[in-house]
Amino acid sequence: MSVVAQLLVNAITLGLIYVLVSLGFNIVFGIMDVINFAHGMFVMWGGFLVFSLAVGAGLGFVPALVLATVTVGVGGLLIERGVLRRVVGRPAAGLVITLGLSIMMQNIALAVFGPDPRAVPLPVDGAVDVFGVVLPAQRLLVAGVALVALGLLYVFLMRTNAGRALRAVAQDPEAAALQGVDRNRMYALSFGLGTALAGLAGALMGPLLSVNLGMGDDPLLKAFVVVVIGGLGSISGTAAAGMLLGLLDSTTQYFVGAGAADLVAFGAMVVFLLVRPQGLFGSTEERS
Amino acid sequence: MEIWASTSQRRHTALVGVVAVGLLALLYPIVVLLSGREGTYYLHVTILVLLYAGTAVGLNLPIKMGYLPVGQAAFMAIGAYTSALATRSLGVPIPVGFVLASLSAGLVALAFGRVVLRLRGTYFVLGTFAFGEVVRLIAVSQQSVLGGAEGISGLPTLTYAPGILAFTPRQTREILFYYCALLLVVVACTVVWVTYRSSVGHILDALRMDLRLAESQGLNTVAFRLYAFVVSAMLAGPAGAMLVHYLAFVNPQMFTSVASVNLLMMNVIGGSSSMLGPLVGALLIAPLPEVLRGADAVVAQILYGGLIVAVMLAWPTGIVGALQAVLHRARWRRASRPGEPRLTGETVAGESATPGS
Repeated sequence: MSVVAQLLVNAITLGLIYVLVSLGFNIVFGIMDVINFAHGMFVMWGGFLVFSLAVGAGLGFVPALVLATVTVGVGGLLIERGVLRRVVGRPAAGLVITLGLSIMMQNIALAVFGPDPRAVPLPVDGAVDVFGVVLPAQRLLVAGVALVALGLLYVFLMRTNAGRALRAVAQDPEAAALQGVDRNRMYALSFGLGTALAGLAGALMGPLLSVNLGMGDDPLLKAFVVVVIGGLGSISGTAAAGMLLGLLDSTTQYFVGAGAADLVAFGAMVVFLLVRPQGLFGSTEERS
Repeated sequence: MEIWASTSQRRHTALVGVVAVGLLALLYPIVVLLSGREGTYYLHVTILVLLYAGTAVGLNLPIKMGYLPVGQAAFMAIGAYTSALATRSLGVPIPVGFVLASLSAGLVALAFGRVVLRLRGTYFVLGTFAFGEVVRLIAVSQQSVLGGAEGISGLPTLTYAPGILAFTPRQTREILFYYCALLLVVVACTVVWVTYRSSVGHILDALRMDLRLAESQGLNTVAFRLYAFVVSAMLAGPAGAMLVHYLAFVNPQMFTSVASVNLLMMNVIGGSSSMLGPLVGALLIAPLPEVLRGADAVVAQILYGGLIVAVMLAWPTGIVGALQAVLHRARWRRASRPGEPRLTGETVAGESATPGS
């Protein structure tokens, strides 16, 4: 029983982190049609910023988390303004530019923070008894924060004008422009939001695993899988596929080994692309 | 009249240029090795550059038709493992291993291309990316034959017992692999050049500009798309095989998505609208992992990343594309002097790598 519960909590925390990373990736893709190869670097910067703020500056974990997320988002906003806006509609250039950005961001982090992995302490420790099942408190905190963030994101996308405008551009950029949606502002918003989500995911991953220069690489690869299985541009699909991948990852890791999980994930990605490219819940309307 | 004269004159200059470059390329390893103690290192880097250049030139074929493959390293891996197993277990001579590498990569591309080429734009990018990861992960997880993450070491390498001139065995090996890699580049350039000069090149352009329109004209677009995809893989396969026989070991780490993305970058940064682009791109990008090694390379790496961004912002058509535009403008100006026939404004190719629709 406790093994199952443990496994389930691990799957859920991992799944939530995948959802955060992939949603950010998917929002940027849906609005700007850019495959952001630098997305993993925003995850890594989120981790290092939460380390600097919580350990270096001595802030509490939650304020450090919020500040790190906002900082990464603002950084993303500036990068969109300065660079990415100019390559919207040119996929090859977008791909290469985000790659250049990723090389820059990784090496700037190396210069600023050094090559060593860092540990971020969490304010809680030990185990919590939930309805007779003993669960690790740290993972519950991380899962709780992720859920709150996803809830806020949901309300933003569904209930605010800016969120509706964002979804309108994702569905049909021209129709949205005709309704008076400023496309450039939506590019900025989507990239800021997408990178902030990556930063938050990194800030949450840091305490659970460790903060290091390569910590964003694996979540980026997983985001590719999640986005394809969930459907490019689909929010509910991303959430479902992210949780599914978290479950698959933590169970195969426990029973078989890490390599097997990746093989299944990327195999599933190829099959989905060929058989159901619109993803789990996507409509059959063609997108390209 | 003057325009025609200048065109044939340019042809003549081009021919002289090709012959001169060819002679230089043939003598290069001898000259470099005799030039000093650093020679072996330069030759080593040159071999890597040539192998990536051959693969990158081949990759230009699918890019020309508007497809961006981000899994080309997988075909290098397939060729590399095929040749490694064939030479080690079956005792096949290494040059035959290179041919087998090309065939195996081509066969896999034929099978995978039939399905993945149905995807367009970003979906194709993601499909080839996933394929690259699957191939790499199979190599990582297969222990008994492929050697898992450690790969296979002690692969047979090219040797020439009597030695070449007075060079050491190591230098002899490098000279041999240099000529292999050079041959690969020459074959790649010839195949791609002949393709682009023929009507197939125009058909690939048509596929990039409007796939549906090309289809509606009765073209068997599936066959042409497969041709470009399979030929690019058949050039990547032997490049991978040469790489691993040269280094005498193979492991999955040599063929990650980073290698695939670098191959694409060589095309886009160099300029994907011509064959010269990937050659220039490979010359600039392939040596970097060797040059930018060690802890003090951080600043250089940051500058490198910044340079990629700057080149893409300043020259959307890549380095060669930008130079072509400059040359074209100059020629246009010269030709449109009063009293001379005007050159029609041949459009400079837009970003050829952009998939249509």
